[in-house]
Amino acid sequence: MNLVVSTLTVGLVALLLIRVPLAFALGLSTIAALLIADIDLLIFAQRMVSGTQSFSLLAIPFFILAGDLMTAGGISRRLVAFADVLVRHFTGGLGMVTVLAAAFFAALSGSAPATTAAIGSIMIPEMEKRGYSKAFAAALAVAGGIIGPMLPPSIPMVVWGVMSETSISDLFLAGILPGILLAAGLMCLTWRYAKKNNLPSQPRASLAEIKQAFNSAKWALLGPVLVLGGIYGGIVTPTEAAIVATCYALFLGIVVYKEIDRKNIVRVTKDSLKTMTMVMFIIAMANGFGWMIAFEQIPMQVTSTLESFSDTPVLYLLMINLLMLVIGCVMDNLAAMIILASFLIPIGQQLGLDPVQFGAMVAINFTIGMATPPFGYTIFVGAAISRLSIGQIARPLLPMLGVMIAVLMAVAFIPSTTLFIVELFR
Amino acid sequence: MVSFVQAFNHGLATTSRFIDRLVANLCVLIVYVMLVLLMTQVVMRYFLGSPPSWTEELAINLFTWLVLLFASVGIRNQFHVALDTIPDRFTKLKISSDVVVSLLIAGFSFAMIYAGSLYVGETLSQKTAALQIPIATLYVSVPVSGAIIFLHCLARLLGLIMGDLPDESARVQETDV
Repeated sequence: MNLVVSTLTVGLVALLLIRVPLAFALGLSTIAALLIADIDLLIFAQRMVSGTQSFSLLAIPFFILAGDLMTAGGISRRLVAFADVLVRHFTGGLGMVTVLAAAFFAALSGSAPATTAAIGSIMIPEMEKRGYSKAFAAALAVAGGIIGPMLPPSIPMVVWGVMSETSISDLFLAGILPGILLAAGLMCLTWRYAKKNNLPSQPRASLAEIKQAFNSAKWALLGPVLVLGGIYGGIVTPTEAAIVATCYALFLGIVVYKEIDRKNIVRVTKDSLKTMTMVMFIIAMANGFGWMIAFEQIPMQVTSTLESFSDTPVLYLLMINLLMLVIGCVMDNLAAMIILASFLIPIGQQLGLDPVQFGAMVAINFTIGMATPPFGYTIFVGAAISRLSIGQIARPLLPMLGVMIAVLMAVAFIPSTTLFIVELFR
Repeated sequence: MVSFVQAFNHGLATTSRFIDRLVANLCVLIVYVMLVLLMTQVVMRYFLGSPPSWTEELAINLFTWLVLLFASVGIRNQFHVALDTIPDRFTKLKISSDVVVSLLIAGFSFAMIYAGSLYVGETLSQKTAALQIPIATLYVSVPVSGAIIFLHCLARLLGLIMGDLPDESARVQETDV
């Protein structure tokens, strides 16, 4: 390792340890590396700007804003009520309501923490009231949040699509089955938990109740139909779909549900801007950091070292996934994807995987890291809304992480998990 | 001398608060301007068949401004994600780490001002593809946002040293998720 490379890596870790925010730690180590390598500092400004200059990335702020506006407009409450009448009579019904409502919300939002916040804040107290342990309820909300970026739309898939020049629409489609699998797996865990703890199930909803709940939620349920129908009907691009979703959320909140007014729209927009900037400033800084890594030709050295593994593809694929899981645990998922794109893309080619399958695998793999500390925003949100410590949530979360990893393995080793739906639309 | 420093600190804190509110509200406005621009583009493409060429370019350039400007709001309100390596009970250690971090971010903002100005200087003669306005209107976002970050850093540093943290940052940190 030369001095530039060690400045980048050791410098980054050291800066993070003394509590420099991630985006600035990435920027500062890039600046130091540029100075040491005697490259014009102008590159720093150039990469910062070019990291945000993409029409596809514009989908990120607007999907975030659409999700926040919908939450402020009372949509998550209505989705929960609708999920409730559908599954509450099963054993572990209330837990299943949490998962199903998270899945509904996931089809409107591309972010895991947002999904956990929207559903968890309603469902954790409800579950606790009905005999679930608070830790299990919080863990389920965290795991349910992970469905958010698997079902389209999905922020990580937008980022990977931009980095690898893969069709974002195809990546969205590839996430559908894994998202459903994760939801199903989490429901099974809930069933087992309820069975073990002898939790009583609730009475089955009458047809009239179902009809009423559907009526109250129908506009919210129409959202994903509009967004996904627009994208896969070939009418709009993902970014345009985000624009349409935002306008639709404004229309619902202002005209239909009348819960958004002049007062809270500014507050909601500022909240969205905060989330968006946290994400985008990291992306902008990771862009320069990734450029510096690529400039030093590290990706080429690494991938040529790994070349020998491609004789045993199963082992290679397992190893890559394990490596990404570890990196995803200690690193922000989007920063990891941007910095590692120049390593991962050639590895995908060595493995001979379809770029869409490989992209979905990368995005899902790093998304799992959002449920683990130290950069697991989703578990932070779960801890904040349940007022539990991360350690308390971690225990019941472990089997749920197991389900996520099982889904990831299906994505890695069974191509039709991701490609089946993509083929349907090709 | 002491009163001068106090007056300077007070003035700086007031300026920092004023700029912060101004930038945050400006960013809200930019979001809805972008929304209108892009919605116009979608409507014109699908109903009239001819999207204007400049809406996309303007929206993307506003996006860069938005990200860089709101990043400065994040400095004042401390919403950028960082590792929480020091437990809350070590108050003194936490404050000294805050001072070091603020100094480092001030250095970062200085690099933004310096590198950004170089970049603006290099591209003064270039014009954007669709709108034909100087491309420097985009790149100048780097030094401008660098200067605002520097201001917030300085205010925070002085506040830390003088022992009175800006009340907002303390409040936001608590509610932050």
